[in-house]
Amino acid sequence: MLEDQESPVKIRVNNLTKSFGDLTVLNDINFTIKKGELLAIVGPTGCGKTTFLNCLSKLMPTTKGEILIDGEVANPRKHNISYVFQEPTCLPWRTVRENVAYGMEIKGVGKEEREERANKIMELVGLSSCADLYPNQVSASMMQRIAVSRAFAVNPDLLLMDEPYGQLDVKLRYYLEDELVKLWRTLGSTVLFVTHNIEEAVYVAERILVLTNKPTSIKQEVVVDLPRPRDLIDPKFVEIRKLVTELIRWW
Amino acid sequence: MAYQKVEVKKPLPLIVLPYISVIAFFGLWEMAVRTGFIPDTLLAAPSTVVQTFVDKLSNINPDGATLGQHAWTSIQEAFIGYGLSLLVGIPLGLFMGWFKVVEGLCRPIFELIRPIPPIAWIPLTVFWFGIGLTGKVFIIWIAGIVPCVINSWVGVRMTNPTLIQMARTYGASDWQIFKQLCIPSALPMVFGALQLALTYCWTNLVGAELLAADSGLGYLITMGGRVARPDIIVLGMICVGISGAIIGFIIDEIEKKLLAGIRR
Amino acid sequence: MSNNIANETIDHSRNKEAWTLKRVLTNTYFLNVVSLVLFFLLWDYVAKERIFHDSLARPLDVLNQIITLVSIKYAGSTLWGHIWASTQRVLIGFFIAAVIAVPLGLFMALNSYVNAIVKPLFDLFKPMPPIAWVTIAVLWFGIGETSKVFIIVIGSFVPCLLNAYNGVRLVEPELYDVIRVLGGSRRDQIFHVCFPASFPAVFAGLQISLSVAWTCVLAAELTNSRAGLGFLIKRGMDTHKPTLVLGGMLLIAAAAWLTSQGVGILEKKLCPWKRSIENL
Repeated sequence: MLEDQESPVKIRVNNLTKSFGDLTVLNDINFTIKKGELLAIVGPTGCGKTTFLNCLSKLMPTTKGEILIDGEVANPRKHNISYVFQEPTCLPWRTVRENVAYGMEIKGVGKEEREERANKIMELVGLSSCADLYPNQVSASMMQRIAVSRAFAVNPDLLLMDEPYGQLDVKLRYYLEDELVKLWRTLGSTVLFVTHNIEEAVYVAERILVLTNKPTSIKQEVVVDLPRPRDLIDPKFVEIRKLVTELIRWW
Repeated sequence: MAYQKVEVKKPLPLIVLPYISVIAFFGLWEMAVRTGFIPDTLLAAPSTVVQTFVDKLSNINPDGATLGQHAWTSIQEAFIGYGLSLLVGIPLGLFMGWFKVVEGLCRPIFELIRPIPPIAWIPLTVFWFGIGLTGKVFIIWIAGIVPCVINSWVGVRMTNPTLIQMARTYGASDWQIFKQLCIPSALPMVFGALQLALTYCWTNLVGAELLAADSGLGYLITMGGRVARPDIIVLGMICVGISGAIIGFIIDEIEKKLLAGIRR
Repeated sequence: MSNNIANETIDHSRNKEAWTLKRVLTNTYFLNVVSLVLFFLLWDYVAKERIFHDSLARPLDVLNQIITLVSIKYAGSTLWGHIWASTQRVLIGFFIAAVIAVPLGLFMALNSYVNAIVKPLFDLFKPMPPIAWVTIAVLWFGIGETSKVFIIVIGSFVPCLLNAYNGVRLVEPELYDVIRVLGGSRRDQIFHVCFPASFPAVFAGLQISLSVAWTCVLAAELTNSRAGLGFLIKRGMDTHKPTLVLGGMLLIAAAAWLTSQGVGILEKKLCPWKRSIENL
């Protein structure tokens, strides 16, 4: 997928601006995401990353600019947009299987196909063994896995991830990041991954957008053309990580 | 917060004291009346109350019905009113919590009626329905509906906003979110209302029967007052208390079962 | 929900949008007005068409009745006299109950011996509705003020005590540890953690007590009295004057609402840190 630089543009964001009253949070953001790309966004603390995602997912109306998916204005009712939130969002009254299928249920996917896709994804992320348990019976890391599986299960046009692994410990995070990369490569979804963890961004992404402080705009784009699986102590990896760190530090 | 439960042995006085306290209470009560410290025109001794209890099980004097009949009347009224208040109050509260239009339309009227003590409706219900079953059911319904509405409303309001956002990003409609997220997450609060509403209903039932009735436990108390028989008054009070406690206990058990059902 | 940008809280309902017809129609204040207008129109219609015969008064007649009562003495006192008679009873009874029950509740929660003695007796009396005491109170104290205040004390006592008790017991144990780690004494724990932490619960109890107190005073006054709002309602019932009954109901609702607002203000003054659920 890395070599396939010619794949069509999936998402196009034009002049995205968002202000709350006088306060401009997002200032004229332009970028594109290619089909099947994993794009990471990093930025200093409080730079409006979450606002950015909320605008993209249409949870929040934008002040100016447009978001196009396949050339059409994005609309959660029409397009498949998935969102993995920072905090776990499992419905406590549904089993793991039902939680994974929830997104598809809303999208109106038929029952049999729902079952089949849910089973396939749970197989991939190792949730099969606890498919019939309730979320409060599984561990905290499982919760985020459920949310990720649910997001992938709807075959999203755009998958937004808002620091999904921010609250997990380091070891578990590596494990889940690997899992994310595996899911993404298997299913070929278009993913936008927001994080404040630079190492994480370099580890998973194809391309990194570095944001400035408020009012937020794009500072620089960094292409990560390392082979997978990536090695955290590979000199090239360290070099890119340093580059991104510098970009964030000197705004 | 997982605190491990450790068995701590209570010191002996702490185990015995509750029993001593209850026994002493009844003992003093009995003594006070027996010795004439409190005249028996004002208060009946516990032993007398027990005798009256046994007597009233079959004797219809002086108030026209046996204890069982009175209790049956009260329980019947309480349950019809209670059931109706759940039936109306819970859906109303749920809808008010989620749909802004329903809230905008119903809230002012609800706020207007809420501070009126339910027994203030007694005169109107007597005008409208007479002193039969309907009037009392109406009062109990009014009494029970308030906690039902408030609890279901708060329950819906406490739905985790992130869950709602999650559903929205998948394109869920308002109705889907209401059905699939708000109602399940409001359920614990709604079950909490069962107990609360029952207490309200039971209290106001007694009020309604004291003022406008021809049978029921509250009526028994009033008649006891009218014929100046403290034993009947005390008996009536105790019966109201005990039956209230029993019903409360049953509802509590049901609530626990239901909660266990959704919390698994 | 606030537009808290630092924490990026989302609120997509409060953004400036054009005034479309749909937005006007679903505006909360607009709906509130519609609802109240409809309510009073319906009430007026039902009364005018005599669906309940002569047993429901029209809203304006009720208002007139209230205005008349303000200036003309009814059964020996003006409207203010009746309102004050009821309010006085409520306040006295409520005050006595609060002064006894709240400390007792706190004490019970802090001392297991007191708890062991009082709790079983309390549990014995708890399920008995306060209104059930009306008859025996009259037998004991006659039909004067004492019997009414007695019932109010009985009614207000239970929620006060129960909430104070639970308020202390539900204080998070970690808070005590904070004091203990700093080397505080048992006294410090009680005064710096226990009391403040249980305040919101105590106030919730007071609010419940107050509404129970109004119910009780009404029950007592309906049974027998010579002044008070309950007396007005009872007199309206006996002489079959729906205007008087409805006027009394509205006034008692207003009085109950005002006193509960008073306690609410006191609570805000005394424990401003308490979080409240939005809109309730």
